[in-house]
Amino acid sequence: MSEQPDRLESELRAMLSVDPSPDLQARIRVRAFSTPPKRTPWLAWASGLAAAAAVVVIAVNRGPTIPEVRPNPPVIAETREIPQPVAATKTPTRFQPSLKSPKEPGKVKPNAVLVPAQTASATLPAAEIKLQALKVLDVTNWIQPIPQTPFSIAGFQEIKIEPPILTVPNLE
Amino acid sequence: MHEYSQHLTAAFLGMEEDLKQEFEIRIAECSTLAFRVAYGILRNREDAEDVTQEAFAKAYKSFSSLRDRERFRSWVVKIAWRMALDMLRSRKRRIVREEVHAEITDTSDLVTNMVDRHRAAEVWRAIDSLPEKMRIVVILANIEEHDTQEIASMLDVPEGTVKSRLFHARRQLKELLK
Repeated sequence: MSEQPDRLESELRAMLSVDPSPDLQARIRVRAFSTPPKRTPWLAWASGLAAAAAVVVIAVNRGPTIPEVRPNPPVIAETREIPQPVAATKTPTRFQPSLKSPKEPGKVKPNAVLVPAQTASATLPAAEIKLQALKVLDVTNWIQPIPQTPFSIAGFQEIKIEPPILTVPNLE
Repeated sequence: MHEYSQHLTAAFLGMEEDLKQEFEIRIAECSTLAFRVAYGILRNREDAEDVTQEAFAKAYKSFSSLRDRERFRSWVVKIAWRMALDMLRSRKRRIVREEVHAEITDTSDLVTNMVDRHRAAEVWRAIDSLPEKMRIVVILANIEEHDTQEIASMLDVPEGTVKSRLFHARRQLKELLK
């Protein structure tokens, strides 16, 4: 009973006592050392600290340096582009409701330049204001042809209806 | 500054050189064991040597991060064992099993050799049929006459587990080889 395990053990030992080639160790060395080992984390830390120390040493050894004098750049008061006044086709009062529109708050056309009514006279040139005032009054419509009444009675003086003389206030 | 960097480089190179020297000692100590473990699985000398080389190359990559250097033996054995099993699975069809007794010199030994070869083939077949955990215990127990304590240390398992596995493996082999 115990003979067979002993025999089996000896057989196994004989079967497994195989020696490798004599040059195996040399081949292992070549194969293993052909790939560099992984650096340990502390080695990475040490490398990083050494690099930082080197930078500090270089900075200290160089000493103070005279800064290069450069001409000051022109001071820009406003970087934002000031919008040019747009020739308004309507009266400035037209824009007033759109600024405080309760129905569509904040909805403004992207390219529109909103000029409040109070500041319109300050931004628009005087000649433009005059022209706009004339357009509002539309004086040309006031000049009407004199009606030729067929029922004019002789002896009566013909009445001419003169258009009212309008004076444009001098806003300058 | 230049001297400092030179000193630092020399220190790093020196450390790498020390690492190489230590690893060479480990190669001399453990290469035969790793080869035999791989051979126990593959039973082909060339394949076992390939596995041994790869196992040591893999071990060297992480050798510097191995805290307990005394564990290297068990570590490299496990690497070789795993790699041999992987190779066996991938090359199973084309592996030509190496015979144990290669050369027949005398005609009087012919019958004896034939019987031995037949017996060896039977034993290998029986070992192959064992579960992996039992197989490694049997192989390690019969390489360099490791005792159960050494095997337990190499496999990171309790000694009682090794004894149990060895007992069951022997019983199974005995039944297979009846």
